Amino acid sequence: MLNIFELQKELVCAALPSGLESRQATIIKNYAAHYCDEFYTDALGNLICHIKGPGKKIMFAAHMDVIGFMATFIDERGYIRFVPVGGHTPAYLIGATVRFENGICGCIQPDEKAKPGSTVLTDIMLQNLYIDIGAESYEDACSMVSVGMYATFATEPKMVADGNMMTPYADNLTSCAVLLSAMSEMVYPVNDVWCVFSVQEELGCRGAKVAANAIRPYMGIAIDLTRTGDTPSETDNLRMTVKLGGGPAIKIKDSSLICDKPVVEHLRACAVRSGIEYQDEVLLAGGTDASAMQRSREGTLSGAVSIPGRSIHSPGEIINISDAENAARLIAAAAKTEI
Amino acid sequence: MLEIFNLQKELVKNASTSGYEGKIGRAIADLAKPFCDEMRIDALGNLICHIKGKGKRIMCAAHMDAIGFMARYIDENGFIYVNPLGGHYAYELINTRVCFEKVSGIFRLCKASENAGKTGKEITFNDIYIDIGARTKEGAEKLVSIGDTAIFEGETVMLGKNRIMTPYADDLSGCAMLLRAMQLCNSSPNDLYFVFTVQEELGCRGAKTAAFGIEPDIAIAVDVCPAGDCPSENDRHNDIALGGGPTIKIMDSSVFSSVGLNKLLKSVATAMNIKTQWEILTGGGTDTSEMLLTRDGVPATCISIPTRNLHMPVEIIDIRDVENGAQLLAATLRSKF
Repeated sequence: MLNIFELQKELVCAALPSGLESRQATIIKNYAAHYCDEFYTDALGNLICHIKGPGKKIMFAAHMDVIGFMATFIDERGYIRFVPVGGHTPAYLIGATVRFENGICGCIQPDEKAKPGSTVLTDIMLQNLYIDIGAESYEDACSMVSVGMYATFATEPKMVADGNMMTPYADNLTSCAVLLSAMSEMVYPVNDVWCVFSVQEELGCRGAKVAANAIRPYMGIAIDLTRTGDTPSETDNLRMTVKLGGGPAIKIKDSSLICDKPVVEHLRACAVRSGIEYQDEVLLAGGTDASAMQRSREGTLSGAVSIPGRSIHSPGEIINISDAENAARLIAAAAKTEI
Repeated sequence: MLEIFNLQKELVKNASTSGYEGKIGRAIADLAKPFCDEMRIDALGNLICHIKGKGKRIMCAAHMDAIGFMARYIDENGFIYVNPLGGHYAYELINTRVCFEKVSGIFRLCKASENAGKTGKEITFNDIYIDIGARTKEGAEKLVSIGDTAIFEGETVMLGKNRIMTPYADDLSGCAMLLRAMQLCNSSPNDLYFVFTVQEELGCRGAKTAAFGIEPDIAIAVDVCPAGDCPSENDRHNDIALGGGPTIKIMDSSVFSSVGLNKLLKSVATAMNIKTQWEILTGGGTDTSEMLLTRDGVPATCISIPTRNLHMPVEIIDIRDVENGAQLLAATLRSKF
């Protein structure tokens, strides 16, 4: 078993948003190389690791891209406008610290049109936010950041109460750490195992789609985050039973797919046999790489193992370390149990 | 030489909320010790440093308290509701990281409040809570008790060559300026009191008693003021710019500064070739007003550091403004009255 918190710290420092995953891919590759028979990077940037086995092909996919920002315009005083990469709620970005791919730091602020005090929070638009890097002029800003550069949340992982970790990009670097940890336990599996660290999930599961087409798995299992229903004032229409610390969740449905029964049953049987407490997940909004695998080629049996996380896509997502460790055990068991 | 960036970093590590300034007071006392003849801490907790001289008695004040939060209610699932200590907009705090003494956490907006279609200013401290990752009330209570205080958790980082992004530029950067000025004032014809005050953010409470005790002839506060050089709502409020020099306060909503004292500061700045900016604020207040209204009245003004994103954990200042403010203050304190 690998140390999830330490791995998360290493990955968060390096990670870049969808489309430019090579930095986190390099770190993941260095770990994965020890645990697989062969690996390669495909045309889109997916890292595909193969652990040979005599049985049917099973594919695991954890996306390694993260959400972030891209600089689009630098104004005459050196303030930077940006577009989102992946899903953000603009109002909650106010005050967030960000780091560009070259290490330049700044923070997100609202302009005079955003009027967060008098606007319904959810109506605040991203085009009314800017990044302040402390530039003294347009030229000074251009010497630090150029249009097209990516930025990510600049906050660090931290352990908080009850064995939980607060971190940006638990979605989905923690799942990458979980898959790596599972791979370390997958020696001589009965199934033919393909572990994929996919790209561009946040832009519509693009990486997993082509990876699944290439691998042609019999069964596909995504590893990602899911919401929890254990925070104050959950509204009735978004209620869910999943909670932090209740164990990994086995997905039944989200808005992108209905998981195939054989996959759900395989995962449940593995959990029961390994003595892993799990939770049933019906997620009302959101999707994962599982949907792309399910609709690859002429169709693949698909499902997902999820790590419960509070406030997903915020710079302070909170997940439970033992949920993550048990997710890794569940995935290792699913790889080693005949399908 | 005291270097402003390192000084700010050191002070932020010791940041303490209003009413609980013991830790920051001790840190500043250690830094101030080599530069003054004597120091004491008064009943409220003000740190009073004295450089003896025969001339006018001048009091300088920078407040060492920081805005923060106090735990007031822990719900059955371990989520913590707080009261603000100092001026906060609840909506600005969503996803902001804070730390209690034993654990870090992050502000969240209640789902029901999010879905209620509220504007920023309609969001109150009943709509937001701190998630420390606890899963039960008992889990939370192991780490946080009612009455515990929390501060912003954020780092002090350089932006480019001259600027820093930091929590608590307000007013730890003012404290840094005061420390640097003390270092520059190793001898003075005047009798100098450098006071690091408490509870400014709750209504300038420390400066009131400190000024009463010192009975100064002249008083100068050191604080921060909002900059108007960014594309935010503040933009049309003033044209104060980062890097344009320290500001000299003419007025804010609590005070009209001494005209004579401002003239003096401006002439010292001109003589020293230090750029300054005039500060006229539509709101705000500082220790200046309490010192001005001490006993039978004291000529008072304020030197401020232009600051963006005030009261957020990402305040941005230009360190040259702090250094130049210290030079200006020291030269003024050393002039003959």
